[in-house]
Amino acid sequence: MPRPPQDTTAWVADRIAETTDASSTKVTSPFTFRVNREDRLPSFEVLVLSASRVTYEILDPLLEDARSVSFVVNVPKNGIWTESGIATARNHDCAFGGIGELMSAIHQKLEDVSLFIKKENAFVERGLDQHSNVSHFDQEYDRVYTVHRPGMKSLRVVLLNEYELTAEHVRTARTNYGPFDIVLMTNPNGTPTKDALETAKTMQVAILAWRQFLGRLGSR
Amino acid sequence: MSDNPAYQDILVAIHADNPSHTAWYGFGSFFRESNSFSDIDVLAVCADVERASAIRQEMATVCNDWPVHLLIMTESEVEETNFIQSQQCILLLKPNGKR
Repeated sequence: MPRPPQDTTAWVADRIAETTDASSTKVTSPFTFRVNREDRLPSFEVLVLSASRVTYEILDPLLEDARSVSFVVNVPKNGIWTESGIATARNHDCAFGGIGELMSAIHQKLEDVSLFIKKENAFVERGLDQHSNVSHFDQEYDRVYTVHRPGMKSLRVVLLNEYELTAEHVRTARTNYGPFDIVLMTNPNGTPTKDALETAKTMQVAILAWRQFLGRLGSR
Repeated sequence: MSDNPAYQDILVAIHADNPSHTAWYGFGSFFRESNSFSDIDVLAVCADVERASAIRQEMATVCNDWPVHLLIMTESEVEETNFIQSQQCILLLKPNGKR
């Protein structure tokens, strides 16, 4: 039986209250809680959900009922933000992510928490923006981009931030996102195992670190 | 740690996985009793990649209810990376179900 939403919301609110930068939290509905911050920073509202895939259909009704929310937290560590889920959060002027991202947003002491963007995505998007072989890119999921290159084949790229990148990570990415060309290791200390490399090879997928990825964007 | 409802649910889920040949470990900030954890790191070690896919499915409910970072490695990957020693993993359940 799924865990009642109010229990999950209360648990997340407790976790956030225990972080040093949040002075207190208060549950305001089964799906929301308020974060009261120190240093005269404005308080803000958080929406909590537990979805394996965050879509428009799941998120929009919750945000329509909670108009003052600035941050949407999806509890599952491996939860997937679909394109429609991301668009829904942005259309409601909300930042989004997991509990770790909410903690980062609080730690950054942003005046307006809704402006928070996950560091991993911001870094990759800036690199793509500045690459001479990239005309534009589309974000299909929080971890998947299609990169368009003038006169060359577009590349479908999955971001994986694991320290030890295993065969199971590669297979799960394929199950979750369908076929792709590249696994981009966004953890600078990340290393693929031999099994991960072998699995990727059978899928005709390249596992690349950041600098290798930038080079690959320039080749056919 | 032991009275945390997330930890209790994880223990129930991994015991339900028996009688498999999976070894279960905890690692990371939650198991170091740190207050600032954002997820709960759990390692499953199994014989091959086919079994790894089954474990991911079997753990889907608890991974949807809680911020569980489930890392699944084959025995050869664990040996290759020396992960259990380097991350000071704590044994939660032996493959045969004995603590």
